[in-house]
Amino acid sequence: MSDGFEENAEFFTLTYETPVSINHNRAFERIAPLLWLRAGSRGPRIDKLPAQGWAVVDAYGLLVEPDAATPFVKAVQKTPGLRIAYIVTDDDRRFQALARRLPDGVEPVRLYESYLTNFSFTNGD
Amino acid sequence: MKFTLKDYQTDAVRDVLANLKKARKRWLEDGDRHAFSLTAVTGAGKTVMAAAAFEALFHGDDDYNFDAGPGAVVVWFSDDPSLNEQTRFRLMEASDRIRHTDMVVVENTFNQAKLQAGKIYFLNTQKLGKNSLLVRGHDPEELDAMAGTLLPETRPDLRSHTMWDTIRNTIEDSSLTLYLVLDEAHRGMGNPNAASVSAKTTIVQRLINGAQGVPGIPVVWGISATVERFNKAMDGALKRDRLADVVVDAVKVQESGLIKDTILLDMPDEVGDFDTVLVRRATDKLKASTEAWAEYARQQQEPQTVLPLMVLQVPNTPDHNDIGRALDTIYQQWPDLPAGSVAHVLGDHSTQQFGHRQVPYIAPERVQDATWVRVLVAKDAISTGWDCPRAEVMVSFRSASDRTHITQLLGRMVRSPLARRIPGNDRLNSVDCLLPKFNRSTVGEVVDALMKGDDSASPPPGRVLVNPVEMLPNPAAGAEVWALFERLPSQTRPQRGANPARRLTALAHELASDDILPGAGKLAHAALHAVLDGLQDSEKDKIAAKRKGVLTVDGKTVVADLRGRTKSFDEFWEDADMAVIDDAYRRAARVFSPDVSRTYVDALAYRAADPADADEFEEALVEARVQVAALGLLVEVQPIFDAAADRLAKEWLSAHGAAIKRLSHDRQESYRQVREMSSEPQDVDLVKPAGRFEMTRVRLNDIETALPTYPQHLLCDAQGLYPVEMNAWEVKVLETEMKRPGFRFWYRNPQQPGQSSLGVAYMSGEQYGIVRPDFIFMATADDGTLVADLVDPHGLHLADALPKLRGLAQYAAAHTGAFRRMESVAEVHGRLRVLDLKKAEVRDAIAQAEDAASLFKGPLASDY
Repeated sequence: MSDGFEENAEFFTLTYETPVSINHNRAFERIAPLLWLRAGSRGPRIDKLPAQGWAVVDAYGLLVEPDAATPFVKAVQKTPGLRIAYIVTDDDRRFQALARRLPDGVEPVRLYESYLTNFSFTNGD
Repeated sequence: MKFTLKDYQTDAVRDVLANLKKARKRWLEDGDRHAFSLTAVTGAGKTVMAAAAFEALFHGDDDYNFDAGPGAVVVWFSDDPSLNEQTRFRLMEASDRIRHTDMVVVENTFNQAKLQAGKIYFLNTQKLGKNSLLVRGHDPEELDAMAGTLLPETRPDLRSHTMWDTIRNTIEDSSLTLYLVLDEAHRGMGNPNAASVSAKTTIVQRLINGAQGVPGIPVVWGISATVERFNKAMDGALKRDRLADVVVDAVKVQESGLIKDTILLDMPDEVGDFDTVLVRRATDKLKASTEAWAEYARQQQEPQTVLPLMVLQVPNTPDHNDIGRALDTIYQQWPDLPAGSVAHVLGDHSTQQFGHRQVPYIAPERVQDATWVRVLVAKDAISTGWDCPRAEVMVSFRSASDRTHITQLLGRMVRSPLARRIPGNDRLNSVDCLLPKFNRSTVGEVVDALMKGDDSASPPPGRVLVNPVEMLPNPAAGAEVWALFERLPSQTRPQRGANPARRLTALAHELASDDILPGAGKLAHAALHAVLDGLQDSEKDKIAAKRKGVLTVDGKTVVADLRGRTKSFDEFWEDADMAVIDDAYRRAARVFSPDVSRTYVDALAYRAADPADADEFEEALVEARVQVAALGLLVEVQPIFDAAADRLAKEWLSAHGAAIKRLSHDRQESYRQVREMSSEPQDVDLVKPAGRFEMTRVRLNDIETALPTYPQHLLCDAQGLYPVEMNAWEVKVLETEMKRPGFRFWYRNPQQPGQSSLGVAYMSGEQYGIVRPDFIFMATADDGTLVADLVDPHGLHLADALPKLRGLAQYAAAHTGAFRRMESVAEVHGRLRVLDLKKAEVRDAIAQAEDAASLFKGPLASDY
């Protein structure tokens, strides 16, 4: 017990965000824990928008700047056990071109298109 | 979607969605029921198309102009639970919006009052069969019949709804729309018995027509390989309107390269026992194919090498010692084949003894990924829905009476392993089939069945060749000849609904990925932002007006004065809320493409506000969205914007053309697709063919004759000759051209799509087609340079003669420099007449003409 636990507890605050700020990637810091949770709540977390346009941690990767696709895909390939690649784009074809290059077993998730439809509950319908 | 749809798939999805929209509207408004089918050849990707349609059905799609139906429910119905599992898996693989919780396999424990909106339910025949727990106790007649016995069969415990109740409740709920997808694509495989067929028909009829208080399902969408089969399933459908069937053009499937170009059939010339001879031959082919793929992977630096597989098809009751002998032959012929490379997929799921060899069983769906399997023993079409793109060689020990088994199994092998055509390499684009039990007279039936298709399978669109010979590049043709050949421009088929901004974004993405132009995506968007900025400047007043339109909603109040019997209208204005602005913005995003709109809004906001101040910046974002929405409402904006995107794409394609050509085939293929994303025909270069298979003999009315051969073709056999079947006027043209001074080589332009076939786009009706001129000639001109001539003799009897001629004329106008002569030849009153397409007045006359024949008769043509 004195060595502490293997597991950690962390507390997050649930907030409401407007779709506009999510859509334009303005609320990333508040979204960040959700992305980490969805990827299996394992390993480090990407808490800030990466300056170089992409970041890869143990369980997931984040690509903000699709122009940096090649280094991102290479980093993903080098990370065994990585499960999800979050890709910020509104262009179907760019997303598909990236999805094709990801290794087997890595699920591509489009931000914030799929994200918004998955988590929003007042669509104005 | 995680997959990029091929052009023909997008077209089919668009048509399917148009039908679904119509059917939905008519059901909701008038209660009319509709049915239609989607038919496509095996390997065309029917599940992928279905996935795209479902995404749009549940989530809406701006590209297809389809609004989501909030109450959409889909029931996917097929014969076989394992087939449903495969479909479910493939849908999940293809789509990023259909989550796995949205796909429900209806099991016997399923117990719900209603199906839920936004979900796909998988059902199969057995689940609705008489004795299934899902439906037991539904049928009152059945209950009556049982009532006499001591224990009548009643509804199972804890079951408040039978499946039929659930379906009825779903249909009767006015907020839900139920769609039935009938998966007929694999029916007829594995020869089901008559009883199971009739059981299925009854259940399908019941779903479609309804019975015992259960109404018929409003919208029925059949997916099948032939239209006839769906028609058969719809036989006896009551009170149901048919919408236009969506038929995928087999030629377009083949153009896409998803399907192998050629099926090569080998069989012995004489009668006798040739089993071992042909097994040896097949082993050589497998070996050669393995080496060719390995070589290709090395040359292209592909991460994955295709490991080809040989299928050994055995009769229904095979002699295991015979199979053992065949396996021995394979190992003798190819000692390097690792031991234990054989598996079987026979009905008995245990390890089998073949001769002195133990061969393990493998589940069919695992064969493609289990790369240790190099030889597979199988009986019939293996399993419904099975396919194995890496199966490249097949030996069938079945005899002529079993030909459907052979064609069905062969039909499973036509998908190309890399899902694209290998440029110029006929060997890697073909599949081999060796038939030791056949002879020349019986093989015709197999060829017929393959070419025409039958009830259970549609014909593959490629060529079927019997005992072909490989033609290799003519050694007499030097590098300069091929260099000229590779410079000849070929055209691609223009695409419906192409969007220049998307194309530019896609191109930028590829260029950035390949490090040809770093940051290309940003550059492209910056250029487009500049165009939009310019428009904002020049159209300021109009935009201000539209802006008001976006921000206010106007309406009318009707005031009716009952005493005075007058009516008056009062107009009112309300401020738009977020939903209205979002809607307007989405419309604009359709014009400028969603990605460009988003980055432009970002850019505008950055200019207007400080990103550090979150509130202020969010205001600026909303403000910018309104601005973009207003801009999108201006009709004159789109052409200017599209032209700018097109111009930049063209610039980049030509500036980086050389760099693109140095990339691997796989990467080049991506660029080829981007190039094709245009509503105008695009030029692509021809690829030097590495070889081509041709038949040397032809069979007509049971008499076999050798095809005439000609010298000096760009591809030829060891003797320098090329066999070709031509009609009289084609022969005449060839002979005339060969006699001309300076003649060097000729090339019979393949009539099948491929990178070595020169295509010219033409417009017939509303559709674009590709005409492939017959001949290309190479000659030495008077000044000693090597030049190319394009001569296309064609018949005038077909209705599309004039559109084709127009296409050729437009091509000639755009590419006058590429050829010395460009001529169209036709036979009029027994004489060959020629139109010189390089002359502007001839082209003008073609543009004005009413029919092709009068042109060739007229004064603009001359005798050939």
